[in-house]
Amino acid sequence: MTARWWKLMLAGLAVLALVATACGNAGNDDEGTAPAATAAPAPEEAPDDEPAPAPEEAPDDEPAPAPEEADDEPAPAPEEADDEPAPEPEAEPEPEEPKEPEHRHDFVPISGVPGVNDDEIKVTSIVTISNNALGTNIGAYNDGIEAYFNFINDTGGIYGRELVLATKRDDQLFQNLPESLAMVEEDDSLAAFVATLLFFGADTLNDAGVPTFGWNIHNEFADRWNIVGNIAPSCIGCIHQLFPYVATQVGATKIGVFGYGNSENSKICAEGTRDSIEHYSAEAGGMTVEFFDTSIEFGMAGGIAPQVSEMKDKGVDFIFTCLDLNGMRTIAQELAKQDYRDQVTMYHPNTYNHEFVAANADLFEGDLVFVQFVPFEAEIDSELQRRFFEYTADLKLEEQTIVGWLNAHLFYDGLLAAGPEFDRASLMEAVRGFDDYSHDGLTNPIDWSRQIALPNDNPDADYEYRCINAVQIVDGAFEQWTGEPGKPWMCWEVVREDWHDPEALSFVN
Amino acid sequence: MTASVLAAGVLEDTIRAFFQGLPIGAGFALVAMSFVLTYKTSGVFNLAFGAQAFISAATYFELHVRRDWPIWSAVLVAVVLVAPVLGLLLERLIFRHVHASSAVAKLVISLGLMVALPELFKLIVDYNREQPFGAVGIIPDGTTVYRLFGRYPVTRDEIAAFVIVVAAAVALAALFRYTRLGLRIRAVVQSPRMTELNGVNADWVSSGSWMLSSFFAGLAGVLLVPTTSSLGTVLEPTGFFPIVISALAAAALGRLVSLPAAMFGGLLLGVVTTQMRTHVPRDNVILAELQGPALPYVMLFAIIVFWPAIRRQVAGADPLLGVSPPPPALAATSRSRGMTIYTRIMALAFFTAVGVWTFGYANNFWISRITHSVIFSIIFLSIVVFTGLGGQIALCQVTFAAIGAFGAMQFAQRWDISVIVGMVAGAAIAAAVGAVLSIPVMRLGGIWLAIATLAFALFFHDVLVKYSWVGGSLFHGRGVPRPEFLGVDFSSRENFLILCIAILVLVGVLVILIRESSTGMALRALRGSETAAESIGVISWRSRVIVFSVSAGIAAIGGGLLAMEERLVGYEANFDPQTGLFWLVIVVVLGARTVEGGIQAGVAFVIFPELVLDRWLGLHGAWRYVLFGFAAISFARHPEGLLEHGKRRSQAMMQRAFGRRQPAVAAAGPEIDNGTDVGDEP
Repeated sequence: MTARWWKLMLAGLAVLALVATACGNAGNDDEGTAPAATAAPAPEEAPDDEPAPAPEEAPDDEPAPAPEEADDEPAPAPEEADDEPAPEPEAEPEPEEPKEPEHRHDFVPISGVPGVNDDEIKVTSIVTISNNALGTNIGAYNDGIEAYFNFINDTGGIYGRELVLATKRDDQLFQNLPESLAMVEEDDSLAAFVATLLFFGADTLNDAGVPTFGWNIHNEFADRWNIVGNIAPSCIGCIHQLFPYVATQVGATKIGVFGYGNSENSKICAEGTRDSIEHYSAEAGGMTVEFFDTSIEFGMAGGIAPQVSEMKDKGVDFIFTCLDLNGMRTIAQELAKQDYRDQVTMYHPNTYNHEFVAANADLFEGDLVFVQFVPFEAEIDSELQRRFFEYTADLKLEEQTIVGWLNAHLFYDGLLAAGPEFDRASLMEAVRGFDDYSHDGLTNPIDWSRQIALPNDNPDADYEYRCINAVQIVDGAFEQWTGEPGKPWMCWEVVREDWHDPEALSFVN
Repeated sequence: MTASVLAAGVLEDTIRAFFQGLPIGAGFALVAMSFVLTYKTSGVFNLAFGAQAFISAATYFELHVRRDWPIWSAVLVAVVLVAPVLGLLLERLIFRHVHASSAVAKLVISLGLMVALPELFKLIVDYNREQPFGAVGIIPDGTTVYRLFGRYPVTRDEIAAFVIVVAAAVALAALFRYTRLGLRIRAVVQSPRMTELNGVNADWVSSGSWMLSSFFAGLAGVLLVPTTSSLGTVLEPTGFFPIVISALAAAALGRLVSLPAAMFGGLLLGVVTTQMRTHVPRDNVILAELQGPALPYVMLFAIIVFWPAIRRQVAGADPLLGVSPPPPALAATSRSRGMTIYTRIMALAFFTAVGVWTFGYANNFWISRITHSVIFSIIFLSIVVFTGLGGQIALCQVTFAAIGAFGAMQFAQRWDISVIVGMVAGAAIAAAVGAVLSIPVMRLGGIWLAIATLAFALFFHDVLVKYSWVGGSLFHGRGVPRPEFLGVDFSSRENFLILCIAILVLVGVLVILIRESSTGMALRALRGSETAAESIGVISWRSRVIVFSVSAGIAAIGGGLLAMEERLVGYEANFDPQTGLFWLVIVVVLGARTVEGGIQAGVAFVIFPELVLDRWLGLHGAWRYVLFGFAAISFARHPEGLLEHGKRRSQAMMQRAFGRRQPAVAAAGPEIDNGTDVGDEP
């Protein structure tokens, strides 16, 4: 390049810099462009208008944040009584039809509501089907939705219409943004159901006012009025008693903690676990974190042998991880190879997968697995659970099956609460009006009117109770580990920071 | 604790780490030797290794696990039958026809195959991916543990892999050194025609070489599955990637030609890895990174840049090797005036129609898709600059684009500064990073440059992105606003599209200016012969630093715009290093030499799968990878790109139809496969 050319370039850059400094960033436009929180018909509970928590890290390779929370009393809120297919308070030997709200079958002609005609209420799903390399069958999410819709349609539908999962979009791993936009533009569905490994389309759906129900493994489920998950936004990395409590229950005193070095989510999760144990060390019998490693690489191409040797040298007897299925299996293999497997219990955040555990029965014997809902192994007096087993009898049950089922149930309850002249906005207002919603006891109760932001930012948005539901691996199968018969949840009040025993609870309505 | 006890403890740890490293190293060595074997027998640096290994492993899994075939029969089919047949097909259908092409051209083809083969396999076989949990090895009771010297545990799977590695290294080294077949294989790689003069059937030798190397890839595939974490639950080609990276470092130690060196390199890297993890503390961030996620990339980069054998190999290369005749003239420079006017009228009509439809009738989805096309066109112009003008292959353009996106995000989020300023700052940072990166790698050229830049891209991906000062915060997200600029609010899709088009025009003009500048001429001279160019006063390092830097800056501008368009940095969706490999493939397939080629690639990347595959043909999006991946095969014959090639052919046909001569095209002579013509000319 010649000197003249360089001068021209410099001059151009200088002009550009001057112009650029005189410009700014656009605010929300009609499409709600800003990175900000919610759009929507937010009533008074609408979240703060602050920079939107956009897509963050990869999920499963980064394991679930710690066990999530629960809240509230088991007692159902009176005003919701007609929202849910309320089972009888006392256990009935035979399943009964849920008590129907009187207006469930009222037909009112509706026009101008996307996806709704006189016969059907149509929804769309966006699910990671192709290219999912995590070993979880996320496609089972669609099965769960359809099973629930079958249940509702078999009992007469709602408002004279059938619920239909009309369009199934394949995220193809991370392509949910264009899929969301296409769904919005086609405008032929009342709501979206989303189960993806990352959720780039969150703002597109939220800003368009599309009621969105999904598999909450992302921060995008926070701060967006129109987006709700199977659980509420949860505190990642928070200090809590449940970690030391779990370890004390198996008599462990020396703890090892693993997280992936490639993932911020995994690291935060691991750090929260470590800090929790150190915080309650004295109360937990002098429990100590003997080994902490958040430097391992995803894929573990370099193996994990030195770390396992170090844990063995230090006498670690319990391992918490924030890893995926692959990582857990690799650690267990190395433990077995070093003849150390029998002396260590592992706590799995992402391993509630029957086929996987059955295939690796010897590796995982005695380990504990965290579950975000009442596991299939724990029968409770829940009509919704009975219906779930009835309508999924022909399916291979996966975690995502029940997530789809739970999402569909919330959608249906929202429609019921919105009334026969519903639309998108009234549906979400109805959902956000549920202040003690436990999916008939299958999840920790959520106050949807309050739990919008991430509790890390806003403690007021946290659950009332932090609960754990875990199973133990025995002979390649799961057995309920927490709670007691009929009360599978072990819960602590979030506001109480002192060391105390959890309470066994049931949240069945 | 006495010093002697401490020393004994350290010694014990060291010995233990040594034995722990050997099985890991055996895995690296196995893959490294596969790389070397392919390169040695075909001259192809086969990045499609993972794809070949995946096909054999997946076939084995389908037969043994899903269909309950006995191990021996599943291995027979997957490794002894499928793998060699795949190698034979690759040689017969593809690599035989590109024998004389440069290593870079073959690298591009292997990239295309890396993308296309697994997707084609999955589409054809209807590979059932639902929870295969395929970590079942070919060794019965492979997890049975033995104890070396009574104390160091090793599994039967690991012993098998180690024995196979050593046996293969010895056998293959003997084959090449002591047998006539080995000599013939080497001779065919050097010069098939000369070999045939001696009565050797070069075709069959070449086919045999490919079958052998493919067999080895298949064997590596089934052996690695039970011992590799990323393959533990689902067999996917990407699962081989982590181990392939470490293996590349081992192969580099052997300069891609020495099997024993690759074997020892693999074992050494395995041992180094476990030693570091045993002795280096993890409570320091940098040390933790160095023994964790960063380790394979740092090793790979360091070996390529500093390993004396590679420097000698590069320095000792024949300076005339890259000398090639000038590429054929582009069709645009050779058509008649009437044809030029006709073409321009048609182009004007086309763009007018698209513009009217876009701004008058298209819904938000299509406006978004078109905006994406424009933005990817900008990003792909960075490949036009580096690959088209510079004649080199870099595999980190996607990283520069990510830097631009994160730059825009960080400025807007942290300091509430205009996102446009952030984008420009991101471009400046990317340009600076590109300049710094180019200094150690610019002398490498060819495949070494490609691998070094891939190592950088993966380092950024696995190490840097997770830090909030790079990739943002988990809790504050990666939101990016759209800009206000010169008093215009670009938050609406239409306005933002106009802004993107304007920037595309500016960048296109910049590319043309660079091409016409002294730097552009210097680059053309360097591509012909660096030695000759330097002898006439061309300062090679300066030209290459400039082109690397400018290319990085352009990619970053595109990345920043993409973040604004999507209103977030969709890093995983847009900027994954493996996505970047596909970017390169699609640009060079369609035309890396021209601004027009870059734009066409941008349109094809976004619009083709949506409009043609999905809406018109109803095909799965995976066909995009299959079609463009296999289209990379055409690169060796048509380095100017398929569209330019088609244009030239249709132009010739039209001119023949109108009875005119075709002076320039004819004068340019037949298309010459000179191998180095990755780009050139307007």
